[in-house]
Formats: sequence, C-alpha cells, structure tokens
Amino acid sequence: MIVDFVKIKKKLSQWADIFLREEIKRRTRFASRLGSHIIHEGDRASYETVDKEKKKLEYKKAESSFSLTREEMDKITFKEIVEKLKVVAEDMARQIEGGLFQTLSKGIEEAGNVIPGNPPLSPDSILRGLEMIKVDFDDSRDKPILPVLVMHPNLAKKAMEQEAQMTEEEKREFEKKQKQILDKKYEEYLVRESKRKLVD
Amino acid sequence: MKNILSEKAKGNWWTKIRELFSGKSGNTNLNRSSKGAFDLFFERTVDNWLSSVNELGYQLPFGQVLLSEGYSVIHYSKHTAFEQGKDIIAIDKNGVPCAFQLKSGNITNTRWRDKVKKEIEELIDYEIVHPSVDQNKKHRSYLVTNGELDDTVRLGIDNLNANKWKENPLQVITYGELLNKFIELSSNFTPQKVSDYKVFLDLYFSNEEELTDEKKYTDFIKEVLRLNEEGLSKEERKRNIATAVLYTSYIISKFKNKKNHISAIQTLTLLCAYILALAEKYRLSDKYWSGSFGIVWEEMMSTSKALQEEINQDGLANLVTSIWDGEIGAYRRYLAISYLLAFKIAQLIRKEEEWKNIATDNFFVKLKESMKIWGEASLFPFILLFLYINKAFVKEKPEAVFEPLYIALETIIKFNGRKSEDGMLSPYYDITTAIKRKFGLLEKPIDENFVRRSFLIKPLIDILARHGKRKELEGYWREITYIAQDSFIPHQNWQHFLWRCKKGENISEYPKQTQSWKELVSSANKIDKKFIPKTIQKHPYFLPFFLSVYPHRITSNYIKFLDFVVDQATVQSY
Repeated sequence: MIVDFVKIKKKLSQWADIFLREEIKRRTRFASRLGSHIIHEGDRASYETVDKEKKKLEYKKAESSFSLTREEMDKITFKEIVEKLKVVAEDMARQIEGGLFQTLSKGIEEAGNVIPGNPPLSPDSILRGLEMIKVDFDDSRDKPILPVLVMHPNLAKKAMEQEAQMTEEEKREFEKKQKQILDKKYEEYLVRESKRKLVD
Repeated sequence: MKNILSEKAKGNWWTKIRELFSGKSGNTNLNRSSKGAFDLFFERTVDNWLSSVNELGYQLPFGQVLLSEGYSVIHYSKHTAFEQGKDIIAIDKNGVPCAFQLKSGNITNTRWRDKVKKEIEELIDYEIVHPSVDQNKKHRSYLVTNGELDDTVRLGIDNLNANKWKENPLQVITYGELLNKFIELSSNFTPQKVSDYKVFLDLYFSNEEELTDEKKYTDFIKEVLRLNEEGLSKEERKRNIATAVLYTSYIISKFKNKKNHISAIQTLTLLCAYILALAEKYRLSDKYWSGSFGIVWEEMMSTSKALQEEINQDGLANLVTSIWDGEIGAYRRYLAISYLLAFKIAQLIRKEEEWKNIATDNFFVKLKESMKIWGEASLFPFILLFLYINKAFVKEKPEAVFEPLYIALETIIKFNGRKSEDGMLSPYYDITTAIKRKFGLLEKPIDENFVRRSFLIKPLIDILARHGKRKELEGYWREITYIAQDSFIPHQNWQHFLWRCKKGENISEYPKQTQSWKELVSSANKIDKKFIPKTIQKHPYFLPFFLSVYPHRITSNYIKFLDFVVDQATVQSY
C-alpha cells in the first residue's frame, strides 16, 4: 500500500461528525430548544410526565446518507464534502423536526388541547389557546414562562401583517385580555405550587 | 539536546517494547520450540513484568498461583509488624499449613546475612497463630523471590536445612520457577489476535500516573473471563478467573511501582466486579470464585491502606507536579478522599477496628478542601462521608452529620433544578471528561442536557427520609418536584457489574407534588433485595468501592441497602 495519513483522516471524520451535528441543530430550531438526553445503555426507556403519567419511550429512527463511487472519492474536494454534509443535515433535520411535531400533535390531541373548531390564526385564537394551556411563572406574576409559538413561515408572515393592521385600541384590548388571562393563570400557578409539599 | 532526547527516550513506548522483545530483562529458561509468535511475545511481557516488580507487585498473582495449585489462602499480608515474617499463609491440599515470605531481587550473601536470614528464622520458628491452623501441626516455610540466590546463600540454606532447620527445612522458589508458574496459569488465555495483544499492551504500557481506561480494561477482562461463552465447566470458569487475576496483576504493576494507589484500586474494583458478574451469571458456588475474590479484595485493602498512609503523610498538600495543579489538584485530591472514604466504609461494614482511625480534626481539615464537585458522580463521596460521620460523631454532633447530604441535595437543586441552564454531568460522565469539559478540551462536545433531572436526587431524598429529616425535606420539596428522578435498571442482576449493559430499562420518574411523609418514609425503609445481586448481599463491603467506580449504577435501592448494612455493622459491633 501507499503510505497513508490515518490519524489526520480520523480527525477529519471527527470534525465531520461535529459539523453534521451542528448543522442539524441549526436547522431544527424548535427541537434544539428542548433538552436532549442520551441513552448510554439498555434497550428500553420509560418516563413520567409532570402529571405523573407513565409512558414508554418509543425510539424513532432518523437517517440519511450519501454515496460515492471510488472514482468520485478520488476527486471529491473538502468543499464538496461540506456541501454533501449540509444536504444530509437538511434531510435529518426534516425527519427529526417532522417526527417531533407528529408526536406533539398526537399528544396535544390526546390531552384535548386543540382549540375547538380549529379557527384561523388571529389575536382571538391566540388568546383562546393561552386560556387552554398551563402557564408557569418564574416565582412572580411579572415573569410568566410563555409558550413558544411555532408556525409555518407563510403563516408567520400573515400573523405579522395582521399585527401591523391592528389599531392601537385593538392592541390595547388584546394586551388587556392577555393580562386578565395571565392573572388567572398566575392564580392557578399559585394553587399548583402550594400543592408541592410534604403532608402527613 | 542529546541528553534531553535520551531522557525522553527512557519513557518511550518503543524503547520499552524493544527491551521487552530483545529479552534484556529476562533470565528465563522457557521452552520456545512449540510456541506461536504471540505466546513468545506474551512470555516476554510476563518476563519483563516479573523482573520489574517488587514483592508487593507479585504478591497477588503468587496468591492466585497458590489457589490454583489447590492451596487455601488464609492470610494475605497487609505488611504490618505483627506478621512474623509470613506474607502469605496457606493450607495445602493435604492440610499442611504453609508460610511464605516474599522478597524481591537477588539475595546476595550480604543481604542474606544482614537481613533476610533473621526474618527467615522468624518465619520458621514462630508458629502460625490463626484460627484456621491446627497449632499441633508443623508448618512448612517458603522463601520466594523474583531474583536469584547467590551460590553461597544457597549452600548456607542447604547446610541449615540439613542441621538446624532439619525439622522444618526452608523451601526456596526463585525467578525461573515463579515465571513458569505465572506463564502456565496465564496461558489459559493467550491473546490470539493482534487486536487482543494490542489492547493488552496498551493497558500494560498506559501511563502509570493516570486512571485506567475502564472501557478498554473491562472489554479485555471480559474476554479473559470468557464471560459471554456458554457451556464451559465450572472448573474452566475457575481457571479463567485465575487468569484474569494474573493479567490484572500485570496491568496494575506499573501503578504499584509508581505508588499510584487510586488507579490500582480502581482496576481491582473492576476486576472484582467482573468476577462477581461471572459468579452471579453462572451461579457458581463459592469454591470456584471466592478464593480469588478474597485475595483481590485483600490486595485492595492493603493498597487502600497505603493510600491512607500517603494522605496521612501530607500527600494531599504535596501533590503538585505542574503549574496546572492549581486547578487539576482539586480533582486529584477529590479522588484520593473519595477512595479513602470507600475504604473506611468497607472497613466499617467488615467491623474492622481501623475504620475509625481517620476521625480526627486534622483529617477533616484535609477533607474540607478535597470534596470537589464536578458532576453527579462526585456527590457519592458526600453520601459516604455522611455514613462515616454519622457513625463516628452522631452523639457529639447529631445535626452536623447531615451536612454532606444537604450540600449534595442543594447542589442538585442549584445546578439541575428548574432555574438552571446547564446542569451537572450525569454519572455516565467521568472525572476526566469533566476536566476536559471545564477547560474546553473535549474531542467531541457533549450533546446532552442535564437540567431538571438527576440520578442522585432520589437516593439522597430516601436516605434523609430514612433518618427522619422531615423538616429539612419539607424545605426542599417544592424544588425537588421539578426534578425528574432518573435511574437505570439492568435486565438481569449479573449485568449490574458490566461497565455498560446492553439490556435494561432507563427510567425517569417525577416525585409526587403532594407527598405523604408517612408514605415516603415507608418507601425509603423498604429495600428491594430482588434488585441487589446475591453476591453483593453476601459481600456488602464491596459496595462502597463498586459504586465509587460505577457511579452510573447508583440507585436509591443500593443506597438504602448501603445505609442498612452500615447501620447493622454498627449495631452489632459498637
């Protein structure tokens, strides 16, 4: 054989692995916000929700690949490899985030957290959604931990247009209603928190 | 420049190999005619090993050789003054008690005359005082050395054997015989593949000042033990254990030479765990494994004692070897103290008087500066410290003894609680990873988040509940409810001892938001022995070391059991 640079190649493979992970993270903005756990051993996993509901963790595979012939391997440049990794990252990200939303939708439906009638996006539907969910606070009323709104870019554009078209009075009305809901949510939060204790 | 290069070459891997294969170290008379290349390489390795260790370095494999030859080892030296020249006492197949004194190097005429002869006289003259030995029976005496005897010494011994020692002549075992015994026993597993041999050499030549690579060692020792090979006879299993003890002795010899006690204890703990895995998996009765386990355990005890002596002699204050010890030193001190605490709790469980001999103010000053927190695994010594001071000082300072548990719990709440952003590393990450992470030296970033979950929180809650700390737990409860309690339960009990286990369940549970104290105490007092391997139930003193080396196996059940056995030991002995 012709002498090789095995260690350098190994380092490059390690670099590619890290690069791929970072690219996937960049493309899965929602999933990346969530905490990730690594299963270090074993073949099964179960978890409890905060409401003490026991669930079995179902593993979902996300995979992608690219293949090259020996001739292509002989000619491919570093820049071209980076481009191929980006394509893999895009594919993986779509699977990961897509799978996550599928699981989430199933859970939301099971928990009955779908807004009845599935209304179109509007200030009113946002407030109705807020009313339906549990809101936590960082110990005080002025620090609500509000949910993240996830929407398709087209819908996001439409939402921004709607907001721009709202009059000052409509905006004040929206904020007033939101404040009322959050006041109520804070009361609920305090009741919930008061239950976190040891009793006889 | 030339000098610097030659200095560097002294520690070079290649120079060691070259020395090894050129036979520079050896004075063996091995029959090579029918051996394969790896056998020869391997024999050279054993040859190199035997010529480089002192008597402490070959005591363990020699004890194993005796066991394999049918002796029962009843005393294994802790190198105290009370042993009357007897490093190992064993009873042979015919019931004859035998006493062995181990030496290193050549015994010259001067050495014999000035030192060794006097010790040998004690070996021969003083009767063996041991409950397992019939004092009416005359013992046989052995001088063992990994060197040679000068001809004049040999003649002198022959002369004494014919006259003064006629009733109890001295038997001598020297280098060649020792080497053959070790090679013969090791040949039960001879690396057959280049990769096996490479792993063994990697372990054998790894840095003597560092910790053992647990994965590499356990992957190797699993092969030596043939752990996954079904259908072997129990006698074969016994031989495989003997071979594993020998290979481990070769691997740890560099630690012993360097007096790196922690890495030696760490490796021996892994070996013990894998012996227990084999015993548990194949339901071996004691006679097939407990002899080997026993001498490995004694080796751990004498090494731990040496660690304690090093700490007593200001080893923690004098550990500096480079400018980086301002940072790294704290991690090194942590390791020393955590292994010492495991040792003391093991002694306490075994009801050995010495368990209390670190309970001094001076020691606690050293301790205070050494409890470095670097991840969840580093909280286990806090539990050990509680168990220790609870027994040593509960009458003098009934409240202060719980401080280590409160510190550990508050640390989890602070770093893994609802307001944390990063979280402490889970017990699956070791101290080396923690150091690399702190200084940005990780080869791969850790893509895992540790916030709002913890492996150690439930054990801590349960131990506090077992000791009636309701008021204190009440203060923490709200924050506790935000943290999921993680654990891993291997599919079968023997798999607890595996470094990583393919089958088993990862469990993540939340505590009840409104928790009945009565119910909590009741559950904290319940130990589910179904999930504790029988070998651990029988040898609970191994648990402090096991969980120190395997922090990812810490569960509430194990900690409750540990608390129980420590408590029982105290009730019965004090």
